[in-house]
Amino acid sequence: MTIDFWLITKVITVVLLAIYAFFAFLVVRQVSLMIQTLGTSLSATLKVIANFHLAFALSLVALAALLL
Amino acid sequence: MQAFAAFVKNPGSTRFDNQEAGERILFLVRRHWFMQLPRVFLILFLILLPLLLPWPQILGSLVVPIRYKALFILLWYLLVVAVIFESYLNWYFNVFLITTDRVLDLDFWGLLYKNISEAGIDHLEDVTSSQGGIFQSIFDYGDIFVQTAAEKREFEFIGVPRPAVIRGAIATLMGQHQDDH
Repeated sequence: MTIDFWLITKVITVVLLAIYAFFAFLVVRQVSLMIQTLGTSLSATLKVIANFHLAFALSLVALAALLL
Repeated sequence: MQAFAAFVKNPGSTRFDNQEAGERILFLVRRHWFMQLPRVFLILFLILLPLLLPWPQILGSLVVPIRYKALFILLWYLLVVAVIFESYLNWYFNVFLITTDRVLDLDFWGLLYKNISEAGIDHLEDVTSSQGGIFQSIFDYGDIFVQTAAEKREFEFIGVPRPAVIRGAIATLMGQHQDDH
């Protein structure tokens, strides 16, 4: 039985990206916690950046699963 | 620029958890930019790393499809963006506040941990600032130590800008409080 090197690489990549997406979700929670503790004029912007970061990480998981 | 300010006097738009009605923030202080230089150099190194590595020697005879190359580059720079964002959040939200009623030390570490220490102006006993060395003198930053009542620990604010001004402000508040009582 031949092990497909690129298939394994794809699975590892998708798993790593999924872990990263979880990290991005934690960053969203972290920003909420921080803003709740200290609200500044930058609060809304930081929230948008954290959510955009999560959306980008999730789209990378989908992209890797589809394209690789 | 408010987003990169390490020393803010009367930050009008800033509010903190459990802020009392009528309590006003007088100073908001973060670490001096000079203290962040090692992190800045690390980020620059991470940005440049893929360009510096000898890829032909690392990959040998392995032919990597272009879609894998593109995705790995994207993943690498996503990680770099995460390091930048995390570094910024840690710098931006780890603050020292002096209000009309108390001093607060807001510390965040890791992803979801926070520690808030505070002491009322009436519990402060002594405030000291220290500055030493070439860089601290040139860029006017240093450390502040606030001693509170015996059962409480000391507040330490390391590497903050204009320590003499902060020490003076706290000493003035302590003096005003003593005059009021």
